[in-house]
Amino acid sequence: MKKELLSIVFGLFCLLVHAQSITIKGAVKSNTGESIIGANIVLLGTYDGASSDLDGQFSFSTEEKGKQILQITYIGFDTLSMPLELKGQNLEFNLKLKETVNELNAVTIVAGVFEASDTKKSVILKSVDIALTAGAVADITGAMLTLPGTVRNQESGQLLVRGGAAYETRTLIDGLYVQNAYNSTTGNLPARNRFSPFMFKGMMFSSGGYSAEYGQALSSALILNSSDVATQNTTGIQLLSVGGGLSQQKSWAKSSLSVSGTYSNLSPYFKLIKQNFDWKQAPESGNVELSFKTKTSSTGIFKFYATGLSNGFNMNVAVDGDEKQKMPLKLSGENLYLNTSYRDVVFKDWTLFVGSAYTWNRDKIRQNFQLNTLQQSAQSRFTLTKSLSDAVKLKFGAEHIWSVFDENYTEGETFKTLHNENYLAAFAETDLKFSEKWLARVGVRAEQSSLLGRGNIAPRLSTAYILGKGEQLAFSFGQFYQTPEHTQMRRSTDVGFEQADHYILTYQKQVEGYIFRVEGYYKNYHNLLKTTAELPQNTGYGYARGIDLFWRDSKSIKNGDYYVSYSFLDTERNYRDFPTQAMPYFAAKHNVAVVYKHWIHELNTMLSTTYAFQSGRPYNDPNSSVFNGSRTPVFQDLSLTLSYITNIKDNFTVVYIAANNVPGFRQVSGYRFSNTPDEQGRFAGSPILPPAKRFIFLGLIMTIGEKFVKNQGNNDDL
Amino acid sequence: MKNLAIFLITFSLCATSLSAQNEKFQMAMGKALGQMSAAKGPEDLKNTANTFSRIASAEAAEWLPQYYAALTHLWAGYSIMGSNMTEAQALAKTALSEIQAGQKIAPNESELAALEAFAYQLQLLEDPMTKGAEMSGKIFATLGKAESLNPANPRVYYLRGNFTLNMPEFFGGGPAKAAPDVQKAVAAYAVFKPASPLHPNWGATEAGELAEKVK
Repeated sequence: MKKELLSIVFGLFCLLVHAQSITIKGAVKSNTGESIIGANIVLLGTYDGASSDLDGQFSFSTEEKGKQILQITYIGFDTLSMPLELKGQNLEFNLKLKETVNELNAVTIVAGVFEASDTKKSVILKSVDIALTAGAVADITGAMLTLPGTVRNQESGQLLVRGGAAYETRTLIDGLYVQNAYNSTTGNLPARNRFSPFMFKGMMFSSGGYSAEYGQALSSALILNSSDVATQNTTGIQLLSVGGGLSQQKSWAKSSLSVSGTYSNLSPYFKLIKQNFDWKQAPESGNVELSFKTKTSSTGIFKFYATGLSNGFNMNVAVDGDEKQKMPLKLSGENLYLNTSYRDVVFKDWTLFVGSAYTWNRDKIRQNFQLNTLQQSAQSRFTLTKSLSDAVKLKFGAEHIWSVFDENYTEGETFKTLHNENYLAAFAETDLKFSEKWLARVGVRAEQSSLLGRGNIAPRLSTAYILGKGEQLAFSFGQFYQTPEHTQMRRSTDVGFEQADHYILTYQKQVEGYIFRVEGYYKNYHNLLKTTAELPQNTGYGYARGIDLFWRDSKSIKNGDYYVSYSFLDTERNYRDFPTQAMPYFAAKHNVAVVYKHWIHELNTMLSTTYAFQSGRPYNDPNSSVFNGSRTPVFQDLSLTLSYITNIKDNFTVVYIAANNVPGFRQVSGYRFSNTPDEQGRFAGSPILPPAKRFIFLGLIMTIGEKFVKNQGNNDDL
Repeated sequence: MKNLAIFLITFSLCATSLSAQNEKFQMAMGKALGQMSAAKGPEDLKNTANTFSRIASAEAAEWLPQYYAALTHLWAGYSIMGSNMTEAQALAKTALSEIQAGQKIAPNESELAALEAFAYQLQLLEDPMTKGAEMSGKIFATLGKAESLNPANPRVYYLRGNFTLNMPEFFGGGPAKAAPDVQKAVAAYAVFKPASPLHPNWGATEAGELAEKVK
């Protein structure tokens, strides 16, 4: 110790001998002019330096000489390195640091997009939000229906966006189209999205103006990105009041494999709860899934996903709208979907994506008629992305889809429709960053359809400008083309693409814990298919305009989090068999959704509730002279989910109860009218109601995971 | 004669810059550690972290300044977490890059691995609902690595006990589950001798407090 002290004294002496120190002082400010407190100023390679004080001032002395580098660092700002020469004189600097561009303050395209992700910070929703939204019962579409721009529809369960029909929304997984995103259904029975929200690390719901990367959707795209390689070995057990499931996940150093199966049967439930429908055989479905993922390099990943589903039901349904004459209607559906993709960095700095998907879907419906539909499609696609500089990013790609639509309708005689399609598309788009505040995305897409014998070229443009901290203004324009639905082209395929032009203006403000967003849009439809003449023609047209509002607050209420969506929609169209321009049945003028989640700490329970309000939707009353002139009553719903989180023998377990329409609102989604008038010349009508007033669902999910076992092991060895 | 001796020693000290540099390092580190123990709030801690970073920038072969820069950044992050989570997360990220820089110098240092887990814990706290499952696995794995590198490192058991205690019971946490690690930590602190006065030697008091909580 004494020796050490002695050395220190000598050392100091030694330093004093050379000491001819000078003072370096100054002030550190941000590029917006605010003083930076606690910035680190150092003469690189020496111990000499200081931290800036409460006024951003700093001062230190040094006896270094000659050429040196003064470095200023502060978290959240770009490091500043300044060469200087020390010649024995004191120096003073006024320094400015530039804020680092990160996910939170970077300019991104926001017009028309709602993003849910666990990895990105600037998003509006998290994956867990989707899973826990009351009323959705872990159905992706159900959760999306709480976002502005959507219209609720109990009878189909599909995504209706901004005055668009269900077919105008496309679902994509890893950039590849999903031909049949919903399970097979008919007769006003709501469908569910086939895919579990837990499969995805991110979801983007575009309510319009989406990128040139995608096409064949007039209104909207639901873009789902699957999770990467799993890191845990788990076994999952699912017990539901309507069925159950088993899953097994195995992970290795670079790969993971998961296999799962679920089965559901509603008949025990229907025996307990009175149903509005006259079921002969309750809905039953079985599903198997397989997923394999492997890292091919430090940047590369290969994914394979396969799922097969079989479902069916049988119920008594009125024939030709005549309630007195009922006949069993039997539906069965089988679906196989394969999706495989590979992504890696090639040629130094290009990101390559290649993928292919295959769908095989068969639906059979039997009543006083027989309808067999077989759809197949195979898609292959590639994209290449490269950042040419900080300011310019380029992306381009192409895809080919081969598909077959084979429909046989038999009622006495057989009507056959067989469509063979070879669809080819190419796109290019570029992100141009004019400044840290202003970004534009310019793209173009070209498509060619062999079925229609036609092509199209669609321009897209999106731009965003940062107004202030967390505050952004965005605009988007695009032309969107879609091949008409096969069921509308039974008589002829010599028609053109349907078209919609979108104009979207968005303002968004996001501060920690709060998001506010308002979006106005105008959508112009043309070349829609009209089927009133003998052969279908592209003479239909229409428009949709409206305002969407979104407010989320996850800060004000402790352990609570809520969001409110409101949409105003004004839309009319003249298409298909409409005799005149009218508001379509899939639109509602006012739409409100309030989603509230609360974590009750003492009970380890998550309470989630969703309230929805929707003004009446149009329906056509044949007794009225005005087409689609009648409105259904107001629609309301209050759903509740309670999830109790616990552990059973150290296995993470969730027990939950979910109930739709708790107060028992009468939910009329439309009216069914008889095809023939009665003696008074009136068409008898009856309301379309959900299968039951309420739906109550009980479930238990248990995850037997390696992690907990291992942790247990560590404690046990004491 | 005596003067000559002093002159010679001084001369040799100045000439052999290596040992002078070492003295300078010891002194600077000692001073910074003093600043650390006197720190009264997040601003003081961040300034201390700056001091350690400056030493780190001059001493490319020493892992200790990186370790302490990360530690003080993390302490600052934990203390502001309630009021400014965004900055707390930026501090966690900075700390992790400092830990990585330290690990380049000392790849098999148990203290750095333990600190890495402490940084992950701060990252988890940003959003336990979403990050809980993934990050807790990472935390246990990193602490497991720290334990295998040096089973006598008391901070491994302290951090694991602390994390387990704060983990919800349904996730396999709680006082009963934390107790064995906390007891192990107390026992390890009792016999722990740091390699030098500059080496990590913190957590004994906190481990004692933890022991009261899990009783």
